[in-house]
Amino acid sequence: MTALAAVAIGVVSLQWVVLLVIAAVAIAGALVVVLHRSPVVGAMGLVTNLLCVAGIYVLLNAYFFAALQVIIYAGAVVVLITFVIMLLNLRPEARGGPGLVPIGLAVLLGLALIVVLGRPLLEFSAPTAEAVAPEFGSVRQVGEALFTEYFYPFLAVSLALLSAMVGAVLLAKRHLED
Amino acid sequence: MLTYLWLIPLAPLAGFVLVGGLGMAGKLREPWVQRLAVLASAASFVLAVFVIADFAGGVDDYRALAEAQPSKYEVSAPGEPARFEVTPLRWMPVGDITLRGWDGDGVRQVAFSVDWTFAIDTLTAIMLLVVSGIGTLIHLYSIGYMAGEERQFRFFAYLNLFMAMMLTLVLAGNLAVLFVGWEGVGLCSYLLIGYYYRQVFDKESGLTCADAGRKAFLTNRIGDFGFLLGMLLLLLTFGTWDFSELATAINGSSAFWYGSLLLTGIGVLLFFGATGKSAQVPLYVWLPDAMAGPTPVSALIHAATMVTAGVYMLARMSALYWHSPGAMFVVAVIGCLTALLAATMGMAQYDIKKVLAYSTVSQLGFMMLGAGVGAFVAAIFHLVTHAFFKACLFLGSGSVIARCGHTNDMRLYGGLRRWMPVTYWTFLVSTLAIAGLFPLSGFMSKDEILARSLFSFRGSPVLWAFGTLAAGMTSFYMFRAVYMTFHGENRSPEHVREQLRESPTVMTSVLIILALGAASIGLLGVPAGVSRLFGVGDINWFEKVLHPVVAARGVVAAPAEGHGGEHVASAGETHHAGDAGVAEHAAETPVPPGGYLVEGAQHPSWSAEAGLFVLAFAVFFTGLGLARWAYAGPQPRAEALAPRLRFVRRLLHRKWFVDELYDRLVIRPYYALSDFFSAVDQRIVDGAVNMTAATTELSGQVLKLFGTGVVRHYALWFLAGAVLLVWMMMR
Amino acid sequence: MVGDPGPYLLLATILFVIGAFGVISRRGAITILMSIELMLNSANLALVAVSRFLPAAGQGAGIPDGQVIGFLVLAIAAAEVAVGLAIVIAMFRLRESVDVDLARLLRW
Repeated sequence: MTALAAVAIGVVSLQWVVLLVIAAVAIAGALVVVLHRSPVVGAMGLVTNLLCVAGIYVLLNAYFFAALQVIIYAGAVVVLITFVIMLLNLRPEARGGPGLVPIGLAVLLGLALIVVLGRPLLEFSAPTAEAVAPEFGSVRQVGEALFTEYFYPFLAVSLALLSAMVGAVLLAKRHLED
Repeated sequence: MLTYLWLIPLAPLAGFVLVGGLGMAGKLREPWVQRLAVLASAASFVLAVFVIADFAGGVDDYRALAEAQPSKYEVSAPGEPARFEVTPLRWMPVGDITLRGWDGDGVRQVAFSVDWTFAIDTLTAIMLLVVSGIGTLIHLYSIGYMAGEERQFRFFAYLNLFMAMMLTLVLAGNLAVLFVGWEGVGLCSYLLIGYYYRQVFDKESGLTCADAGRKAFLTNRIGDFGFLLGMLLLLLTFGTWDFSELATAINGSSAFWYGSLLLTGIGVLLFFGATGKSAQVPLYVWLPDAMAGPTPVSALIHAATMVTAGVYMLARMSALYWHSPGAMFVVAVIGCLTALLAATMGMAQYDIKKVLAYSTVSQLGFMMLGAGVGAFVAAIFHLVTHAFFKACLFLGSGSVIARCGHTNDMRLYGGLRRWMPVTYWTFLVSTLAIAGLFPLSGFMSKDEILARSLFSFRGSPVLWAFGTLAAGMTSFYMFRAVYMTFHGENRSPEHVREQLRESPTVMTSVLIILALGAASIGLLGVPAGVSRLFGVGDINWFEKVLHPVVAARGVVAAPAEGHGGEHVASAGETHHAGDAGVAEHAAETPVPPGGYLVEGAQHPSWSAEAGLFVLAFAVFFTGLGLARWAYAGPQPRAEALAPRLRFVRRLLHRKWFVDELYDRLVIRPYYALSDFFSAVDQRIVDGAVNMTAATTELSGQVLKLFGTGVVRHYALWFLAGAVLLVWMMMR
Repeated sequence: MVGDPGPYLLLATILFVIGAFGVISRRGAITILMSIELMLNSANLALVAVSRFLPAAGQGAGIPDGQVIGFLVLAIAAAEVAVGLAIVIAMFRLRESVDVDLARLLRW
């Protein structure tokens, strides 16, 4: 049974309602980020969006990942961004965008992407109809995969983080010394 | 001593390196430049004398050595003419080459390598003495001639390099080494002709000495192209460039080779190279212009040694030419034509060096004529005598030029014998020699060539008649030069006349030595016919020494005739040996009756010899008399005659318009062709390249519009690409 | 019961497009960074959604790989934000502005 059919028949379960509501809020938050002229308001929109996505993770039984999303993204990253906004004491962006042509092109391209991907995605049915496995989304499962199968990518990412840290410090600091 | 053969060319080479290197570095002052150069040249002469003394004692002492080290030394077999080869260095070990079986032995592989082989036999020994001896004398003379010149080291270094290359050429044991020398002397000739490279030497055409050098070099290049083709054809046929091996291969199957079209082709190609180097028709045009070089250079390179390389090469390849009557005929005809044509041109020149240059061309023609009728010995003998008297004449003219304000124009000379007696007498002796007065050297050699061109069965009365005519002209133009230069009133400008005096001793002593040589050297080779006239036996030492090397070998006259073919020439009776045409069927009949490879001469009767002898005198005195009539005396008749002979004079003075003819026939079409290819290159080839560049630039100009520097635009294109990719995947 | 990944993937696509639009249309460097976070986040959503519906090794559906990769993306995103913000600070020091249209030196 495809999602389209489900909507059409009107079989609207509670889960569907929750999903649609969360999705609508997430999209609204995203739109605030890209449309509002004030970066601070944009940051708040971003938090909204991230929290909503975390909610969707819960719907997908990925509890641990939802927790990570809230802690790292909604917590650390957005706080960092907000902190920088405050630090630089940014004003709302000046009016006068990039002109109609690039924006129109961007809108067209975005719509094209949604149209091109939309049908195949909605018609994409799960390869198995079985219920979710009990251990899915648990810390144990993710941790096991991370430290066995994905050990080397994990190491590589840790190195990337380290170098990013050093780079950030250097970039932010260099001109202070001058 | 013989094993040090290869040191002979190395001595002047070392001189070249030292004089040139130290000279360029500015570490060598003038007297030392001269001393070092003369020393290097003299060293090679002394070395050559020692080597030849050892060689004259026979090569048998070295037989054991040759057996012990067969790859390094080689000695001719006991019955053969003495020959010693030394190979101090391998050069190019080529490996196996495939022969097409043109020599009748089928397709096969033979090992081939090019080595630095130096060889000596009597022919080389004579050439060695001439080259190193006269070369050293001219080095000495140059000390006086070049006195006061700037940067002399250049001159002396080139001169030493020339000696090294010329000695390499005559010592070469194979064609490759000979070719090294051949090209090396060409290079030195070019460098030395253009020695005064900024000076204009021909006021009519405004050519500089550098242009003259270039002309010599390019003309020689044309000949060398033919020479190289001949060499390669030889290699493809015989699989070797070694002279003795080639001779053995050809002589070993005379019947097969006699009259072969392939050998004729090779012979003509090699001779084409010789026409360039030895200034024969049609490539002689460079030699008169080569007079732009300093006079000692003209004497050494363009009279005594280098230009005779072609004659030497013919003698060296005599086995090949003996087997190709066609090629020999070409050589004889070209030689005769050159002798005659150059003599006519020489009669109308006012530049003393040009007179001598055309005389050289003409004498080289005589040598070629001799080689072409099979008188190789006489040709080489004429080479030797010519080296003496022509070197003496050139050096004499150099002595005159240096004293007469460096002008070559004989109209500005006159009466010089008053101031320069030594120069005059040596010049006169050499003139008598070249004009062929008995018993001076020129008579001996030229008379022998003319006699052989008449009596040799490869000769013909026509060749003889034209040769004799040319000899008469020789007498005329040489005495014309003598009268215009040394007799009559002096026509020099006042300031020059005041300073007229004899040249320094270092120059005149060389002149004296050369004049003595020119007078006496002929006694070494008195023709058999002449000695018979005087009731003396055969005293031709030259013939005795040299003949075995250049004699026709292979299948010779049948024993029933009583003579081996190689002895026919010196035997004193009439001998008919004209059955040359039977070679075609040689395969079926290995030794036809009478033999078919006989260099034979129909030996003339006593009266015929006497007639020729008298004729030689008549020719000599006719030339002398005409020259005296026209140019001697206070009021030369030539001036009075000039209007009536204007056309002829113009024709001869402009050298039959040969330069103009070549200009129209060869040079202009060549330029036109070059212009055409230049246009093709610039329009089409360069056009294609430029179009590529223009296209690239245009596309760059268009594409740079996308590089706005605004990150957002890049992101936009990036997104567009991503969407396109997704669309392609989802399609 | 929403038994298919389709709606989640569609949502991810929409969020991605919004983020991309933000990157293209906005001039403030901070806003652009936030838009990039939106895009990365949508990618994570797609990963987790698909892995939830793939058959597990044992019983039931759901494999951990999507979450693990998502975790790595998370870490990279954090690194990117750190460096990006450092660049923004450096740029601000230089130009007293975070307008990316002012940084157009990379031009012919």
